[in-house]
Amino acid sequence: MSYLAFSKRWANYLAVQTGLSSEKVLILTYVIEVLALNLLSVIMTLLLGLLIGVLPGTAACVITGFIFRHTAGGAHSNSPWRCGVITITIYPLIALLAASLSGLSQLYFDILLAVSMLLGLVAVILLAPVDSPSAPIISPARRKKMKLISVMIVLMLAMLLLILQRSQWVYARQVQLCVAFSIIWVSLMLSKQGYQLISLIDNI
Amino acid sequence: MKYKLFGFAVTLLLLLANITSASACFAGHYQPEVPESLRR
Repeated sequence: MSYLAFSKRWANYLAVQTGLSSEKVLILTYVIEVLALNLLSVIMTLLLGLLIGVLPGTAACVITGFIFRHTAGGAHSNSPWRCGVITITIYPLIALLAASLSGLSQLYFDILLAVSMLLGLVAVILLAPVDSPSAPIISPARRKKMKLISVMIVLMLAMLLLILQRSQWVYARQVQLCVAFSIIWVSLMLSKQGYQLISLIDNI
Repeated sequence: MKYKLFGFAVTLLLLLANITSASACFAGHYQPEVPESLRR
């Protein structure tokens, strides 16, 4: 199994200190890599969001992406660094787009939200959970459970949009659009076209 | 004391490994290879 040098080094250090078996060292290496890369990606994404003045929107995008992809899965890049670039740029860009469109007329705004929810719902019903060769979902029961949770998450996000619709919060419209655009993005990542896009980026 | 701290860190990380491996993916667009023993 191929992991980055830093995660191997940290795991080996902890293993030496506590006398772990080689199997446990492998698990430690995996979890250190997952936590460190994701933490770094999230921090850098939020920093970029802050720099371009769309921090609340970027945070909304990251949270939506996390809860959606957690059970629905989706396309992954082969390289952690390319993945970092995608994650760090896409969510602040979505937030920027949402901020620029937040003045949209109510009719178009509502249509956009409805389309995103419908797209998200259809995508999870037809495609979720989308696993990767690095993390295959073996059990059919687990697959079924993840699909059900994915559908529930989309419905919960739809409820959140309805709550935000009545909210007086200054960022409510912006966050609504961020949630909607993030759902469109993560739904795309479930599809064949999403896989093609990520493999195109991998081949750059 | 030092051994206990490392032991606690390792236990916590192993618990997190079980939790993260139960999800289809995490926040980012990269998925490290899940060890065989965590695949289900």
